[in-house]
Amino acid sequence: MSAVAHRPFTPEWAAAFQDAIEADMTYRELAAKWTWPVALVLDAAPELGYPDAVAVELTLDRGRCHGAVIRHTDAVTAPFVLRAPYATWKLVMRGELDPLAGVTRGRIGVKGSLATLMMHARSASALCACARAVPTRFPDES
Amino acid sequence: MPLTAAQFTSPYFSLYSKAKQLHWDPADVDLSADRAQWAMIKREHAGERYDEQILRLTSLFYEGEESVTRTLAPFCSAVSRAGLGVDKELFLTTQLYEEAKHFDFFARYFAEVFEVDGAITRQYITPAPQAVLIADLEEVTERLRRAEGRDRIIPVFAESVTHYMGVVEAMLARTGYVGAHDALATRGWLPGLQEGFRLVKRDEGRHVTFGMRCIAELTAERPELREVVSATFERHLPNVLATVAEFDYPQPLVDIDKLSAYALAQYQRFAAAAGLGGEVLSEAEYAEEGDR
Ligand SMILES: [Fe+2]
Ligand SMILES: [Fe+2]
Repeated sequence: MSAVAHRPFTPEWAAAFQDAIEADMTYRELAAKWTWPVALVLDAAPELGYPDAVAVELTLDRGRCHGAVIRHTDAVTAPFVLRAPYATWKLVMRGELDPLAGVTRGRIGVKGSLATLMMHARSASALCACARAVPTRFPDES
Repeated sequence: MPLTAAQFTSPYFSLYSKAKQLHWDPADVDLSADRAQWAMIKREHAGERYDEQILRLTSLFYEGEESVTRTLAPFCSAVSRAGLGVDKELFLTTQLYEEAKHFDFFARYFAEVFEVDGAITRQYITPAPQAVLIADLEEVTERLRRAEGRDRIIPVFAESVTHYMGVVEAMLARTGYVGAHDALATRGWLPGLQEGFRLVKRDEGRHVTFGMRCIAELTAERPELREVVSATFERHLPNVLATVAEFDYPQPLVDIDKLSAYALAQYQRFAAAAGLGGEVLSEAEYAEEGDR
């Protein structure tokens, strides 16, 4: 895992996120039954250098992450899409907001089966917890 | 139809027996301290909008209990028409009586403590709770009432049990009562309302256990019903979440994260009972629900 900090939702950050997921044994165990790709979408935030909404699409399968690719939101094919503004993702990435609490409070939008996602709530939380291990340079702080 | 020896010792019959032992009367709950406290909350905590939050919460309970009182009768008749067991019918008679008592408790509370007409509750019933607690529940139980023939009744019964006991009672009612009771208990407020919440919550535990048992039994016999259970949750989850999110005030009375986590756990248990989680509930987990 690189010690260099990257801006979230960039290819370098996505690669480090994938490494973090792969290295996390808690996630691997909790997500043993999760078999679907997931896209995390960041709303456009031009003032922070995100002129358009951007997605990181994670190829997740039974606790593993076989790919983490930055895409235009139109190109996302994952059956599960979680979408939120920058401030919300920042809270999630720092472990200050549980992703499922974000969903229930309406701060994170969901596309895909809510029933399935909620059956696997602990694996969703563990996935986002992996982002905490990624050295991140938050653009509103630099 | 006679009660068979197996039914006499069935989990449904023991839930029925428990209901008889844990009888309570809404008229006996002591509300004498609540009126002065309610005046204090309105006077001293208007800034946090605690009075509004308490009214919103109790309005949902009032409306919800009224709705489940009106929509339970088709279950009794459907169980009988489909021959699903006299033990289930016996239990449902206790539930019908209990739902009426829950409604009775809130009606009394509004009149004696809030000193307002129950009609005030309507202003807090926004589209999400209106759909999941009232309109959609009426719709499915009306279909249950009209269903004819065992093979037609059973899928609608599974859908109705999932909606009534799984979505409304497990995810919304029990969660709401646990959250509301905690919120008042930590502040030492409204002891009569706390006591009502505690008694209602204990009854709801049995109702949820009954629903989980029915769903486990039905889906074990007819695995295709798992799809019905799953589709029913899928349909109503957005309204459940929207209802919980209404308590996300700037200075929330209830701990909304705890509330969400509890609702989620209730869903997962119900789904597991239906065989959707790949795990089967242990006897201890069922018992825990019914006893609390
Ligand atoms: Fe009730
Ligand atoms: Fe109930």
